[in-house]
Order: sequence, then structure tokens, then C-alpha cells
Amino acid sequence: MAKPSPDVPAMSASQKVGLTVVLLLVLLGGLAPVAFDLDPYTISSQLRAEPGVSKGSGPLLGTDDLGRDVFSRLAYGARSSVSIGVFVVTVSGALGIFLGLMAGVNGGWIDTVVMQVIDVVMTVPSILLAIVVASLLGSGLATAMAAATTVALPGFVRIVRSVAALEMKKQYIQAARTGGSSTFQILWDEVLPNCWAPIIAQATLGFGDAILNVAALGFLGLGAKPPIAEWGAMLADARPFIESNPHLMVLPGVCLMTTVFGFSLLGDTLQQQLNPKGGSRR
Amino acid sequence: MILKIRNLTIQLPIHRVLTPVVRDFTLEVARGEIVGIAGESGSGKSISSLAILGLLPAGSTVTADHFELCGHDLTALSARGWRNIRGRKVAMVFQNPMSALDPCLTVESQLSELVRNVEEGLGRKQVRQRAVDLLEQVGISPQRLGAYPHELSGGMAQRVFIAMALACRPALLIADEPTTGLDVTIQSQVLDLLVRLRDTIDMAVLLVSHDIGIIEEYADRIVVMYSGEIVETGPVTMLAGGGQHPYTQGLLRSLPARQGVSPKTPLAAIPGVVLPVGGDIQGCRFAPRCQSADERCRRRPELVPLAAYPGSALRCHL
Repeated sequence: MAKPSPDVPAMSASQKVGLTVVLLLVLLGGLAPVAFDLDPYTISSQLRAEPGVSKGSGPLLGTDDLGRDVFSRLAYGARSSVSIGVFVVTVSGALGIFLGLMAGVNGGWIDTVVMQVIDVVMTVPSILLAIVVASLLGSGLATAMAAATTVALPGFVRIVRSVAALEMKKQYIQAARTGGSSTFQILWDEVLPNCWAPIIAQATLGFGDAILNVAALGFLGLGAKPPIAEWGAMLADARPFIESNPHLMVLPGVCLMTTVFGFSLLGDTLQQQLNPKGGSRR
Repeated sequence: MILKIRNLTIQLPIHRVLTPVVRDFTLEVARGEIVGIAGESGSGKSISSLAILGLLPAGSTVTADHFELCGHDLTALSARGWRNIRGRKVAMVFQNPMSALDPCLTVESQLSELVRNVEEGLGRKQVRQRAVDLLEQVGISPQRLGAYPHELSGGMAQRVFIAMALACRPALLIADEPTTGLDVTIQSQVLDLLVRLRDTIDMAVLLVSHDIGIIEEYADRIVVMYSGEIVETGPVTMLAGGGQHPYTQGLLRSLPARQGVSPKTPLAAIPGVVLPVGGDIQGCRFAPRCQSADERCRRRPELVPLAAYPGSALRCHL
């Protein structure tokens, strides 16, 4: 019983790929801007839309229609994507855990109210909901993030509620009560640890969704405002140049796709791995 | 006396109707005593023990002339009051140790949660030390602190759970079928442990079991319940003569390997099944299954003290 190492399952190939993509993204967003002293905002009239990879001292991936360094903008885009993902997942996760535990543990009218509201939120398509939120609060990156958070919330609430409701019926909850634990203690110390596995998987999947949703809003002009380097907005800006300079559109698109793909892979494999019902070991 | 119950009646909402499932339950338990409650499924033994912990399902009612644990009146407790009773005064060991342990937490974290419940202001090291002591008390090596419940065997899990129950140094330990699902050698291991703990820390044990043989062997006194009522109570020595109440006699006869019964004779059984709880029954509740029932059994028998054994009582006209 020295170390519980045999309990840690080996990583599958798809999980390795997912993990690599996610690490690359964090590296690109977190380190590249600092390491290479990138500047995504300066406009230059000499360097406007110089296509292809430039030689010599020029920008690595060329510049966009306003002469801004595309690589810098992509790196800063990665940075905003990561922060968007972290923010959306943290806020919707925390709120979802709270609401889910309330509903699952207490049952009764709290459960009914929470789940009805969540059902209503789920019936509205996510982009439509985001548009509604954006039009209510005015467009901008913050609004887009608020919208993505709202869209991500039902997933967390439903997962936590179902696990919590199931666990509350188990004997160890009653055993904890006989030990004099309060309801809050039971929630925090006994029920929540049982919810972590599905929450982690959901968070990883939600990360990709959040990035995609915010980018879609940015593309529609409801998200990040022009000077901010954000992949969705970059896609939208590059639309007029799709024939002359397709790389302006392809690059942020590829970044977006790879990122979401990576998170989906990681989320799916985590879900399989952390699910106690899928057999203890594969 | 740490537990004093007189005329406890428990009503549960069954199909939204309050139905009495335990009637006129009277029990006294002294410090360091092992009292066994025997009876078939549905006789009300588990419900009575849950009532002592205040963990009856929502909507149930409890009335009693006297319902006292360690000087606390259990009929008038707030939620906070109950939490101070549970663990500190009374703890419970469950049927299936595997499902009574949280599958996601290590032995150590489950033990220390309870230790912290009772003794506030202990440092990390002290809590750990208490957990080690508790495990040693139940004969488990401290190396097991890091183990998860699925890594333990059934008997070990039950001993870990007993250690958890002891964490709060309760005056009374309720063991509800503590050996169901364990094989016979492990069963005696667990029960011997309970007896040893009773001797070393002077804790009373309420041993609930459908196996009257276990109770005869391990308990000091016995309470036999049938259909929500006590039918017979007294020192376990009175079972040696075969019991007084026809139900007790039936239970004893149905044990395999009784003295005077040659091997391979078919086991005796009590015909029929337990009456459904509730129901407005005038006479003796056991009469329909009793082979010697007669006219007198149409009246409800009272629990009458028996002269032959001290502290015993019998609910039978015969």
C-alpha cells in the first residue's frame, strides 16, 4: 500500500493528443507573447496584407489587412481563448455545482424550480441565447462570456444534481449522519468528492464549447471588439480577403478547430477514465 | 442507565397514512451492557434503533412516556441537539460495511472527518494520531490509512467502520445486523471485537440481529420483537430453557445444530409470515402463527414481568 500507482490507468493515444494540443495552446498563449515580445496591435501601412511566410526580418506569418503581425495576433488570440475558457468554466462550474447540489440534495420544490429553469435555458439554442444576452447587455467580450457561461450552466447543474441525488440515497450518507455530521459537512465532505469525476470531464468539454461559442459570437460581431486579438473576430475581419489572402482566415480557423478538438478529445477520454461505472479498469 | 425508553410508539407515513410500526417499546440499557434485539424482518427492530438516532424518515412521529439517552430527552431535540447526540452519545454500525463507507474517500479522511467533528482544535498530526489509534483499537494496521474502501475486505471494512463509530467515543453503539454478508469466521471476529470494546471502553452495545443464536452467544440481555412489539425480554440465560414466548421458542427451534437435535433432521420453521405493520388487530399479533393459540389470545396480551428471571417480561396469555 506504499503508492497507489497501479490505480492510475495508462493514457490512451487520443488522450495524449488532446493533452498535447491543450499544452501547446497554453504555451502559445502564455509564453509566446512574453518570450518573443509580440505586438498584435501596431498598424503598419508598409506591411499591409503581405501574403505568405515572409523572409528575413519580416513577420513570421505575414500581416493582416491593417499591417498587424498575424502570428502575434494568433498568440494573443490563444491567450484570450484560454482566459475565456477558464472564466466560463470556473463561473458556470461553481454556479452549476452550487445549484446542482441544492437541487439534488434537498429535492422538493428547490429541485423542481432549479430544474425547470434549467430546462427552459436548455430549450433555447445556445447562439440564440447568446444573441439575446448580448442584445440585452450590449455587445462586447464580457457579454459574450456571460452568454457562454449561461449556455454552459445547464450541463453542470444536471450532472451534479444527478450524481448528488443518487449519492444521497446511499448508506454512507446516513452513516455520516449517525456520526453527527451536519448537512453542509455531508455535502462538502461526502457528496462533492463523488461528483468530481464527471465535473472534471464536463469542465474539459465545456472549455472547448466556451471557446467555440465566444468565437462564434465574435464572428457575428457580438463578441470581442475590433482591436482585441480574438480568433472569432479575426475570422470575421478576414472575410473580405478570403480570395486574395486566404491564410488570414485559415489560420485562426485552424487554431480554433485544433483547440476545440483537443479539449473534446481530452474531455471524452477523461469521461471514460473517471467513470466508475465503466468498469474499474479497462 | 444510559438509555431509558418507556412505551415508545413510532408511526411512519405509509401511503400518506400514519401507521404505528412500533408499539409500547420499553427498554433500558446500562453502561457496559450488551443488549440484543432479535426478530424477523419487519418486526420493527431497525426502526426502533433509528429512532434512537433521530433518523426516522420525514413525517414520522415518535411518542413515548420516557425517551432518554444519557440524560437528554430525545422527544424534544432540535436538529442541532440531535447532531450533538449522534456520534458523541450514540453511534451506529450498519449491515453492509461496503456501502457505509464513502467509496471516494480514503480510510484516513473518513476517520479524521469524524475525529474533527467531536474534538475541535486538533492539529493535523494529532488528528492523524487519533486515526491511527482508532485503527489499532479495531486491530487494523495503520498502513491501511491510505486505502480506499474497495481495497478492503468485507470484515476489514466493517472494522474500519466500527473504528469510525468509536471516533466519537459514544456511550452507546447500535450495531444493526453488523455481520450480515460476512462469513462465519469474520462474523465472530467482528462480534468478538464488539465484546472486547465493551470491556475496554465500557460502552453499551445494542446488537440488532435476526439471528437469535448470535444474540444468545454475545449479548447479556435479549429483547425479542414481533410485528412491532416486544414479546419477550430478559437475561439471555432464559433462552437456555427454550424461551417462554411461543415466538421465541419457534426462533430457537429453527436454529440449526441445537443440542438434542441429531444432524440432518429437517429444520423446524415458524409457519406463516409476519403480519403487515399497522392494521387494527385486537388480540395477540402472533396468534395466527401460534400453534397453541386459544380463546384467550383474542384479547391483547400485556407485557407482564416474569418471576423466574430478574428483569424479564413476557407478552403472552399462555
